[in-house]
Amino acid sequence: MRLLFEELKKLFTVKTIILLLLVSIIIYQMFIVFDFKHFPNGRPVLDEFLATQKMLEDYGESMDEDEFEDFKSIYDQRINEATQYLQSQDDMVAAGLDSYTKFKSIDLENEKLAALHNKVYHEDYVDVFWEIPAREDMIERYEHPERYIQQYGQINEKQKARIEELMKNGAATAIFSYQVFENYNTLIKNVAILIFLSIMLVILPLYIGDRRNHAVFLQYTSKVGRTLFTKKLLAGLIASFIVITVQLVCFFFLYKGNDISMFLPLTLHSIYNAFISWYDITFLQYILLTVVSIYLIGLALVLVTACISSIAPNYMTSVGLHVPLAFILFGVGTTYLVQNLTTLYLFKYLLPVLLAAILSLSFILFWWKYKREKWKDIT
Amino acid sequence: MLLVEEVTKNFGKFTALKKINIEFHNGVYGLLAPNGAGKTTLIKMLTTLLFPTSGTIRYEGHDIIKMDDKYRELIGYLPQEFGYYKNYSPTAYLLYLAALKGIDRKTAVARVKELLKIVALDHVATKKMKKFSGGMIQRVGIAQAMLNDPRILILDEPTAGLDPKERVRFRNLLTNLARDRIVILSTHIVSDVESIANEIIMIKNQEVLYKDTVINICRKIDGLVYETEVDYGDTEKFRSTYLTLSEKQETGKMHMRFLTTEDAKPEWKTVHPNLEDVFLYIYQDEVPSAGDDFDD
Repeated sequence: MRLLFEELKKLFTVKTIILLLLVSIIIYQMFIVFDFKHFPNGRPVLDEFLATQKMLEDYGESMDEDEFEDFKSIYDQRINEATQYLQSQDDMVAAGLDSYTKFKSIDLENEKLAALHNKVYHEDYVDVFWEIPAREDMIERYEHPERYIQQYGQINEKQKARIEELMKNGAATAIFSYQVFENYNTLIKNVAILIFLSIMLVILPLYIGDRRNHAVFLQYTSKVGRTLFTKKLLAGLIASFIVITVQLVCFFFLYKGNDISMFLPLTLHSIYNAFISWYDITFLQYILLTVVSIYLIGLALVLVTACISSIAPNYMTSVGLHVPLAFILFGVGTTYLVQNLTTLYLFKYLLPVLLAAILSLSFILFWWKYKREKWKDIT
Repeated sequence: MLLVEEVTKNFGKFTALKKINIEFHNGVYGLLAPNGAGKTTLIKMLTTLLFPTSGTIRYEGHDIIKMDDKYRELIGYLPQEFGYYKNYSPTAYLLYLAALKGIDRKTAVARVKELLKIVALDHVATKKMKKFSGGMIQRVGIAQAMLNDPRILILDEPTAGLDPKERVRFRNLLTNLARDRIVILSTHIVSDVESIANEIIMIKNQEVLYKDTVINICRKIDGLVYETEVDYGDTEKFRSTYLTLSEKQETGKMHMRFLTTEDAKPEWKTVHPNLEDVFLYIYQDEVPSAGDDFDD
């Protein structure tokens, strides 16, 4: 235990912690903060999100026919409100735009009318005019659930059967928000990239440091001997667990500000979401799945990075060897193993198969290195 | 007893050591050979950093490789180059190594304090080592080798960086320690071992050439070492004719100490050979070998 603590101390030096903080701040500023600041991003996306929140408050997890009628009545109310607004504006009335129906069919080629249209949307930001198209779209989706299937284009029989099953089981009436799902996916991908980069930074000196300054001569001739190789790995795993956990805690603390807690117990399968999973999961379960996936990829990454650290003759080579690994992990890796998990577009068992394969391969690679290390001449 | 039996070490096609046989009992052993002769290879095999290509090394009859940690907990080792953490203090560093050696923390704290006093570093016990001189670092190295009160103390070029006063103190320390343990001292500095080693081991052509006391080894060239004075003008010719062991300018002439098998001339004065004379004689034709790539 003491030794483990000593090895952890060597991984978390003041320099490393400062570097981690700097990298985290830069990545947050460049790629993550935007999706917090601008959620929901733009209009009528914001209005659709607010309408969905209202739906959840009023109708619960799904919207039946009666509730849909109520939803439509609110839409009609909004039309009236828009009409009242137009009638209260002299310039609108003078231009003959005294009802929402007239305003909607406005000729945007007409510069004068286009200016009035622009004034409502982009100068006065009249909320009701943004809310109406958002609600319109939601009504259309409810009335035409077949479009939910059509958006998937070319699908095979199994995929088709899955969608039909979901439709039968309530997807047509379930309430969810595509913005919430998309926003989480974008955020978690960037957070995962930050986490994997942090792991690389922490684990990179795991073996290379002691090998390069010849501390290994003293370590391997001590009582602990070459078993230190596995003890260092354990320290690396604990360090990575700490890094992942701290990063995730920070992220979810910020994510809490998005105020999406009401979506957590909802199923992902809804006509208001463009994502279909092979499995019946809620948004919270999906989030947990991404977290588990990040931890497992983190574990595999520690094994691979540790191997590189034990093989690379110097830091430059080590960094060089990490470049293709980062390229694959940050690109393809996060796309298939962190984002859109269990999507209907891909093979049903892709996630467990890929994770198992990655973990097995990295474990075998490390085991091979450990076996070699045990009987290697230390020159 | 530590027994090296028929040990050969190859690095690819290169043979660094060939069928080495050595017996170590309590006492100081000076492993003396020029750089590249295979001293460090032997030492690294004694410390299990290298594995013999053939042959075995036994401690009290047991193969040291099979003894594993039971053997390693008996040894103290100071490598030629040893790694330390610049931002650690000697105390923090020694406590880390004590953890590696399996010494419990309470014992380690007391032992570290005691050792830092022995190597005269107690006044900088909590200072970061990045400001330490080479000699101070070397003393930290010596302290770490003694942390676990080893039965076998193996030191590779331990006096590098030490000033004369520190060297004397170090030799006295080793003499005391060697009463009840094996101390193996590898060096190419003859004076390091001449006065304290119970036996000298000399390696040449990958084999043990001598393993004997200093007196017995010096006897090998008894009657062959002379001193004489030579005019400056004749110095070059003298050097090319005889194996000069040392030279000194004195009273307008060159005072030469040399070795020859020729019959003595009247102006030559026979002197007692010392270990350095033997060293220079034995290794006069030694050129750095391919072993340099691997050790020393």
